[in-house]
Amino acid sequence: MTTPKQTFLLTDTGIHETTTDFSSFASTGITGDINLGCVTNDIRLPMFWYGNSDLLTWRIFDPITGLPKTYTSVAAYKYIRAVQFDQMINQAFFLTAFRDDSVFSNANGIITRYNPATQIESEFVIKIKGVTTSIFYALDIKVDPSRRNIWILDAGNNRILRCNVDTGEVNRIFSPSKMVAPCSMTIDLSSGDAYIRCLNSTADGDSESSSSSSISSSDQLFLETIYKANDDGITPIVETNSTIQYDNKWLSPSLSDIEDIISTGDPIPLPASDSMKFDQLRGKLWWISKSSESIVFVVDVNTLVMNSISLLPSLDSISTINLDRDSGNAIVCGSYGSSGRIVVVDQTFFTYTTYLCHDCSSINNIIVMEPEFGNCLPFYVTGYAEQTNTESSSSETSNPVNVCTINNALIAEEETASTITTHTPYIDVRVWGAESSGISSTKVWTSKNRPSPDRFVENAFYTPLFSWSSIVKAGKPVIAIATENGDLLKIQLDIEQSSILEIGKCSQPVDGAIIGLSVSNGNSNVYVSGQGSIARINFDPTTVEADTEESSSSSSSQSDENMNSNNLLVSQKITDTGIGGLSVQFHTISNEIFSVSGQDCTLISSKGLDGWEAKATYGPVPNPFKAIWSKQHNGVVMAGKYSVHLVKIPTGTIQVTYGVPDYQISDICVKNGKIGIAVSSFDGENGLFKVLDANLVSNLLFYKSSGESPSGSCFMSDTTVLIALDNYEANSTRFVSANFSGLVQESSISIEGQIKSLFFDENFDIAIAVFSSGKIISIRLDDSKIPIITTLGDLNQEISFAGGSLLSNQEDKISTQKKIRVFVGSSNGTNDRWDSGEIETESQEVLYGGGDNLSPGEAYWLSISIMDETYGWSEPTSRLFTVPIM
Amino acid sequence: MTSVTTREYNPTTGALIGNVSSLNFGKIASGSHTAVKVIDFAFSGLTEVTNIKIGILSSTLEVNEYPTDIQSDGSSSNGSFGLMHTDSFNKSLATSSLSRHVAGLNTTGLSSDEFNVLIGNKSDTVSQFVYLDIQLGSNDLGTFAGTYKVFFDFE
Repeated sequence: MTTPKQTFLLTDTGIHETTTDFSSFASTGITGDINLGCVTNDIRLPMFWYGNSDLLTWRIFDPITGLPKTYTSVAAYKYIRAVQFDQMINQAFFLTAFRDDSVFSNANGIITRYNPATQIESEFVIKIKGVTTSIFYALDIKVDPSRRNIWILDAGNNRILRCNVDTGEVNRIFSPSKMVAPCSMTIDLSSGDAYIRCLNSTADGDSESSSSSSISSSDQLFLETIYKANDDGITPIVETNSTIQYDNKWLSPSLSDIEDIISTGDPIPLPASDSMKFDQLRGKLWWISKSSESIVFVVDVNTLVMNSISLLPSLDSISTINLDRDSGNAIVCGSYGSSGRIVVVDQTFFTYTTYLCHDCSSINNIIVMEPEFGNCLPFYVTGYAEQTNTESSSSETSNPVNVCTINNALIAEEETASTITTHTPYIDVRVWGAESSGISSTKVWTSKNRPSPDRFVENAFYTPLFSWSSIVKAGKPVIAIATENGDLLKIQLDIEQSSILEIGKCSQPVDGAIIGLSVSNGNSNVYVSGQGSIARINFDPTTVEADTEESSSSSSSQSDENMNSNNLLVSQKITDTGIGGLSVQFHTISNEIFSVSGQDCTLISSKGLDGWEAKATYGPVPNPFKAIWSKQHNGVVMAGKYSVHLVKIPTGTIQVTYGVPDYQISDICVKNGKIGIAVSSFDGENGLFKVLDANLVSNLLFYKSSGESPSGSCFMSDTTVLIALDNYEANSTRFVSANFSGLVQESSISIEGQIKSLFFDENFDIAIAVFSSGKIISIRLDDSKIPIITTLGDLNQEISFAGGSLLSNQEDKISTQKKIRVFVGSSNGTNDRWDSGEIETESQEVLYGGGDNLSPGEAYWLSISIMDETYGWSEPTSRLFTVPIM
Repeated sequence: MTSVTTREYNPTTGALIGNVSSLNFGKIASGSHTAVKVIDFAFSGLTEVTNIKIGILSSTLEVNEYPTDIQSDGSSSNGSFGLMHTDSFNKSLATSSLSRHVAGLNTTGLSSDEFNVLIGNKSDTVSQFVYLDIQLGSNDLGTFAGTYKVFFDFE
């Protein structure tokens, strides 16, 4: 059977080189328990990285000399899950799932970038729209060098990130609703398609049900799902069953789970980074099943014909897989008895041959020294601008040649980042004019749609189109509304047309009073809590069904133990924790506070809240206290009547309390460790909104209104706070936005009536507000963050509660425009300087010539309007910019 | 099984350097072209290879916006990616900028794509010598990367 030309085994006793037929094994002199490695061909003779978990270092191994290159040692953490080498820039990336040397507040994952040439090690900073984001319990990374992408399986946040490997900017986020624990992946480097293995704890995929049966049930199957992700989105392509289950702490660990893992030193048992491989020549995806099952799967990704074979008779455990490029055969490694074992699986006939390695008790990984790109040959080249008169003319600061060159360089870097994906909401606008004499080395940037002949750059700017969402709309928002007469409605809105698109009505009665709603993102599930029950309502666009699950009377012993029927709910909050699916915190008449997450129901506190009057009411609670899970705090932030509490999980102890004795709290919101509280005076005529830091100590933002009070609705994003202010005397509501530096922007108009609920989507700066009268409005923040109000419709009936999700389909949020119009004026919305007219282009960049209409140093308003086939022409989006002084 | 190995040659002497899995054209100034890379493709696990083509599947550098003078092998007289091919090593081609180029990006991923360049054979299982270089525009700055892909029929 064909085998690779040169292979190294990473084992529990060190690195061994094998002969081409695996007939013998020779020690390289590298000892220790070695798990990971990756090939680098930054020089003509390939070497590979290897990590020694005992020494906590990474080194480069030179197969020619048989020695490690000691000068390239890289510090590393114990829980490194993956290592990748970017062959385009000759840098290595190391993924640590969580930092084991961290303090409690910082157990996030980290990607370390190492440059062997400079020996500089730095953190790879991940950004979403320029804002740094964290990864938590990240389990795999893969680099796609030619597309300049790095894929990150951010399992703790239940998302997959695709970033530009040079800038760290996220260009796509995948977060399918039923995805659990994305743990390993591989990439088809020809197409750029990614294949991701995820684990689901239940066979029906309903991991969101709060009252499903115990996971220890012996007849329950465990699913592995392989997703395919690319520019078109993410779809499951294969599902396999397994009898092996992982504890929930490995699937969606909390911070305390991570602390436990670090303290016990347990290895992460989920399939490793090198448990999947893609054969580009043959279009076959290979992966190994969980360790003790020793199953090898292969699927033809074009036909989706799948095959599998159990190696259990020959392998006690299975740890890694690699491919022989020439033959397409799979090389699987693991252990058998007290030896390491290699199994070569013939890709055609699915027979296999075994080889024993007695020099170790287990083979952790295998390095195959062959080209990794199939019949694709990656290329790369680095271009730079010639500084024609840099040093010698340093004193000539106004020299136009030098300045223009630098300016172009800045644009070039942005250009590279912006053209990676259609989902990066940038448009590149270049302002240029007639040729200027004496400037010979500053030709216009090479670009699509470039008019001919070339002209010379006079000035240029680059603008991220930060409110792209207001141009190409974000799906169709869905909200759920409970009416005073007991109906449960699902409302689909059309923001573009400023109308209510569809109203669905639940055909089955919901048990008990409806006191809380939550619509899960990406599907039609609506969660409803009533008196002692939590229901999941399954809406469909055409048929309405209900699936009510009685948590109080369930046969589940867990429910009997922790949630007896006497625990009538008086208020609750349903949230998506982002790491463990649905989480419900609720307050009972006996002042008990529960946390429900997945299948766990835990009493977290029996302490009463000050001033709170528990009500065993069958109607809606007029002013419910609120409890919000805070990932940053690893606890629940709860509002009482006169104070905010941070409750530690799992002990249930109240860690910090912040009191507002002269006011009453009407709402709280939590974001990134910040806690926003809306409070009103006793007479309800004045309100405050405060943003507190994570320890409930200092005011990050303080805003006081006069004649109005926060009406129980506030939302906070990374950069923005949105508050609804109720003027009781005038029976009207006004909206205010603020940032954390204290800038407050107010809506120019008020809406008649009292607000019932407010939903805010930070990605799109769009909010939906439902009024008690049934009126529904949208609030859009313009480029200056000023709230702009549009009426969407009126249900003309009293609303008791509303919950919602603004994005029914995130994949729809950005589409390709067909035409674009750019105009520039001396004031917002005008075109007295330039007007491009309609330009037909699908490109994300536009060139526009303006001659001498703009003066360096002067500020102008740039406006952009975009047309696509789905939504037609957008309203212009404007941005103030200053022409650079050349 | 069928496989293909990419081999690189010294552009001055024509001597075999070794197998390669990626091409680093190095760092060059905007407005200039890279040194020429000389490669060929050796096939194994088959008796005869025909219809060898090279296409550019992805590139962060514009491949060719307005291709001109497209010849029968699919190459054009302009473009960012120089590509020529000969039966025997030609030093003069390898030491100056190339005059024929890839006419456009292969967007289909198929061997039938109109922008592939047809490469002949030196023997039944070895391609002609292939000469590659890259021309950057005056304002092309940054790192540019992508993939060539080799297509072929075999029996």
